[in-house]
Amino acid sequence: MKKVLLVLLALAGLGGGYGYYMWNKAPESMATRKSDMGITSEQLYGAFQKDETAANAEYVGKIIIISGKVKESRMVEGVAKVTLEAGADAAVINCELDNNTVHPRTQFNAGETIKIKGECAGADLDGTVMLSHCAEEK
Amino acid sequence: MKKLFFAAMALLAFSLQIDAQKIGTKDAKVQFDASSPLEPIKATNNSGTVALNTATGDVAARVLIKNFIFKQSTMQEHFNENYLESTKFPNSTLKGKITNLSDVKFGTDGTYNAKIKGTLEMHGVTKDVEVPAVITVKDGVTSFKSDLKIACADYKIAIPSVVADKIAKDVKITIEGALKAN
Repeated sequence: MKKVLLVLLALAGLGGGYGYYMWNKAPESMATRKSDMGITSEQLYGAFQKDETAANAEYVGKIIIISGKVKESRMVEGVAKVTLEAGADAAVINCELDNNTVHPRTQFNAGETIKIKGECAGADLDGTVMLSHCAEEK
Repeated sequence: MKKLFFAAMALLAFSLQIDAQKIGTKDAKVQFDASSPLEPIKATNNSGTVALNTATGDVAARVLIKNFIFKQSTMQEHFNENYLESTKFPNSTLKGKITNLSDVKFGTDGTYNAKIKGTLEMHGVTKDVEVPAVITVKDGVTSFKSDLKIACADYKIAIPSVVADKIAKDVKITIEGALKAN
């Protein structure tokens, strides 16, 4: 009887510990998340320009690998951000790098073409499309 | 010819002035706090947008819900999937006008209390709101800060009774950033 009680207590302890671990676990790194699709910056921006409601339904919440040319790369209060060109002058995709990922680099050269994996968050007031929790994809 | 030149210069100066009246940021820091005495529930969004027309007092701000970062993955998932339903309602948008624009001297250093009257759309619900904001002008830089209190029930954000004691019924939201000419 004593052994059964000890086993039950041990199981309860393990269960509690697992629950505590799961509750406090940090969000998963973008580097290990599986992508849903690949698309160019022009295609993604164009989809939101054409029909924001339809694009929201198709892309928001999806993990997308986007390829595009870097317009600028900057650090804002410790958060790395990369802006990709998306066709016309003001057309851009803003990517915010994931804070749960170890990034080989956070600065990118203007003009270089890169691939970035991130979660599509939707479009801004001026049509700029935003990818969150991003990581560079090699 | 000379008259035409001056007219063109005046038009250019006028158009530049119009541009200078529109200031904004895409790097506004938005903090979300639904903490209760039982549980700290906080998140930060580092990519809020604020646009302000200093001539008309028109203000617009948008926050993309997916950009909120929590320390715990479970909280982030619940926030996006169960409460804000961010795939269905990806953004929250404030549109309004400063009602006491004459009190805010955008060309003079100082701290000004502004009152914004407009609408706030969140979770698919749009409601009339009156929002206070503090506008600070210092050395040519205009900064914006606003503290909002949102009642979850007003925006049809359902809190299950099992966790009702752990989540504040009124959520505090702070949005702040330095506004630059577009």
